[in-house]
Amino acid sequence: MRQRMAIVGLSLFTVLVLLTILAPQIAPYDPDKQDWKVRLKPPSAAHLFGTDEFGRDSFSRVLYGGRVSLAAGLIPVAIGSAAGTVIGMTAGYLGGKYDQVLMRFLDVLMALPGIFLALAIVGTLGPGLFNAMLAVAVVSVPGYARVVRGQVLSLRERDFVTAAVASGASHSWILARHLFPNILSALMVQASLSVGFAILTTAGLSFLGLGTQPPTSDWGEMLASGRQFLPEAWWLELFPGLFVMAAVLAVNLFGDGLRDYLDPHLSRKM
Amino acid sequence: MLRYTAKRLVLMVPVLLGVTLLVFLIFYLTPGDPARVVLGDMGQGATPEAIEQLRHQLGLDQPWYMQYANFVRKAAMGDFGRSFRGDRPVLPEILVRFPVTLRLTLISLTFAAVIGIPLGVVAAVKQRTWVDNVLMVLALLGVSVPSFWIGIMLMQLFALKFKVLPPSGTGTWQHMVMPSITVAMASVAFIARMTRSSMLDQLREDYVRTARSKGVDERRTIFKHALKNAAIPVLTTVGLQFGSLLGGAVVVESVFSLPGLGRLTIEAIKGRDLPAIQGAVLWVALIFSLVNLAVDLGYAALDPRIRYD
Repeated sequence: MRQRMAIVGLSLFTVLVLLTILAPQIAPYDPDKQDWKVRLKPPSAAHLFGTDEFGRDSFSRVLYGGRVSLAAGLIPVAIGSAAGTVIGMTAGYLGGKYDQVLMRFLDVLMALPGIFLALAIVGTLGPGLFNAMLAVAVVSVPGYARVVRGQVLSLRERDFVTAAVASGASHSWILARHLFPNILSALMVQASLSVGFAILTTAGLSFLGLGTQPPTSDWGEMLASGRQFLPEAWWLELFPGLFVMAAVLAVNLFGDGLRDYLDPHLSRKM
Repeated sequence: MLRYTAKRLVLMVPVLLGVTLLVFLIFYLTPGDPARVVLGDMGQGATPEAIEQLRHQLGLDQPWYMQYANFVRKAAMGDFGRSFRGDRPVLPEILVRFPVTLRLTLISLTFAAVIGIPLGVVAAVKQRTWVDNVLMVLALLGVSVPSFWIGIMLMQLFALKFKVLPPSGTGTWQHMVMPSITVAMASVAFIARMTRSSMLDQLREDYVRTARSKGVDERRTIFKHALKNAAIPVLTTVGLQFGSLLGGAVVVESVFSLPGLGRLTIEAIKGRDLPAIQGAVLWVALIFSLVNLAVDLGYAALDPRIRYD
């Protein structure tokens, strides 16, 4: 059952990614082309998702905006997981004072609810898509670092590591060739489950006007700008929201399935 | 227990000092001269002397470690500085706004627990039936929906179309209905999933089998035996949800125009009001750390097997 759900999730996400990559081929209009004759028109055959206050085609904008939104889900995960892995692996492997200092640093990052830490970072660096993605990446670092450190702490004592040390392998060789492959599955689960968080948080920051700035658009920004035309122009809120939900649902289904597949104890339970 | 509490409180100090350093860096690393930001509101015609004088007044002409030491000393005495916009002390402003956020968070937490726990129990008892499947798909949807979007949709439906609830603002209990449901949505789903998994663990235990084979009423087995043991991880989850709900409240306040801490922070970020941002972040870190400590202590109080000292 769970594995089937994971396949459904992966397929849905792939479809969404393809839709946004192929936006130039699929989108019926230029997403930025204004047409004052068709301002705020409800969905129709000519404009599947209706039009916005400038007469721009919402369907085309959702497709192009998806490029930003999906990238905003994947890029912070890539940055956060890379940084978290380096911190977690070195802390777990080297131990001692180094470990203590890094863990206290992570405690500080975890002393704030995620979105609040993101707000503090965006507040420092200023609003913008890049800063929002960086903020989300920083927020996710402690999660990765802790998972990785925990894995390394238990692996460090295993015979194959002792054998590698005895054979004179360097620290970096042991970390890269012996430990890293063994933490990969835990890392993948953590990463797949945090893509959803990243998409939701960057959409939320854009919605608050702190992420993507016009004229660039993503789903969060579309939701923010469409809000002022409620309740009449409901389509401006409905479609971008559904796309955010579909993307997050897809990655969550996939992440859940992956976790159960890689952790047999959990899969029996779920 | 008392010793453990004291130890944990002492351990909070370095973490909070770390937060003050983080918060100080917000001020220190932000591009631009704060003195110019303050004077900027009063017009562009500030003389270099006026800027220099204000820099001196704000202590900006001192080395960074002196500035940081001053900041910590003042913060410890409850002086979070004065906001750039409006030149008012930051802490009283936070204390006025925070109750709105806290009320929203607490109502949402109650709501999430009251709905989420029974749903989780039902899903566990009906494991691998259509009821379980439907509930778990709904829970997955719940954690996948952007809260602000749900807020807008609820507002659209109940305030603008059916006109049964006020669309925004504060004042009556009706004002809190939509914001609380919005904030609670993801937590309902999360708590339901956690309860289900914790209940399934218990339902497989020998004591449940014994109770059932003795012919104990199924309802009694589930509620009196299994749920009681499943409650500890569930209640911890509920407690730890406080943080995410607090974060959720920050975003949802903007949707429903609630004058809480979240809106204060977002206004401060947009207006580059650094002392207000610093104050809000520091305050939230303090509350969040205290709540997490309370959850840990509650854990020990609930489970007689756990003793920290």
